[in-house]
Amino acid sequence: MNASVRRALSATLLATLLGCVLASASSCVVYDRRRHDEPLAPEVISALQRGQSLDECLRSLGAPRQCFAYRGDGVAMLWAWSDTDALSVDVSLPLQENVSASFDLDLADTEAQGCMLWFGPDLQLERWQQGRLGDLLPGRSRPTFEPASDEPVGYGRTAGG
Amino acid sequence: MFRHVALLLLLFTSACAIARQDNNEPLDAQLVRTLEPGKTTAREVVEKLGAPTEVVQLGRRTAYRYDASTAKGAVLILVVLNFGNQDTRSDRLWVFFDEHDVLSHYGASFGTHRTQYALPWEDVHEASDNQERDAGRPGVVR
Repeated sequence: MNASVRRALSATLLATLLGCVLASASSCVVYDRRRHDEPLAPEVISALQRGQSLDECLRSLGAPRQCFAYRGDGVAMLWAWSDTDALSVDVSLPLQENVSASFDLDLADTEAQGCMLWFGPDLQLERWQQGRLGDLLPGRSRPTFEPASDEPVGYGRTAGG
Repeated sequence: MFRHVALLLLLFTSACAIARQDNNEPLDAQLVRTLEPGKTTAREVVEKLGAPTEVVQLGRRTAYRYDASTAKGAVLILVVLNFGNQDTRSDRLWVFFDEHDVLSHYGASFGTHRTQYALPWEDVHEASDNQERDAGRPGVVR
């Protein structure tokens, strides 16, 4: 018996066993998927070039999810999307009269992805980064008041950079 | 006998459901295309599009965000095995103004019309689907 046949037999056996357990018990399996917005096409991100204008980037990437102040008159822009799924298995197995065992498993993949672009005060693309949203967003903190020397009003602390 | 009853019960208790949730009116793509960088003022943008969802100060510049979203959910209940899916897309517009409140740039994405009722294993981002839906919404394709 070769390895692939053995693997197929074990998978069948495991599925049958699982089926028997689920059939004899009070059980529920839920698979839930949530998709939010469309991911940026990899070819669009790979075509980005340092020094590109804000206009060109907006034309190729569309509108960002969020904008942040960056280095005075600069701007950091975030595009974000997510595709998360969750599998939950809930099995309750009667063992004896008045005795039952229950098993609850929740597997969730909830990482949102994004791409952040930083534009300098001249609105030319300085850098970009793709990855998990948590790594791209600046740490949460209260904005600080920073009065500029030649301006009567202050602007929020720059984000990103 | 018990098996037959259980099977019948399963057949009759299975169900499916769909739900939809809209947040704000979808943006008028044709109206958005009438915005002219270097000419249109912040006042004109607000007159055309109404109050923005958010205003962000970017140094001497300002940016307004307009958005709308549509979420479509589908659930297949087979009692023991259940599937759920939710697809959410957004229309989004960012308009950027210089220190004189004149439009300098804008970026728009239109996605609410692409939202689909689907089950988890279905691809909701197929290019052919998107093209077909884009064709039915004026102003989305430049």
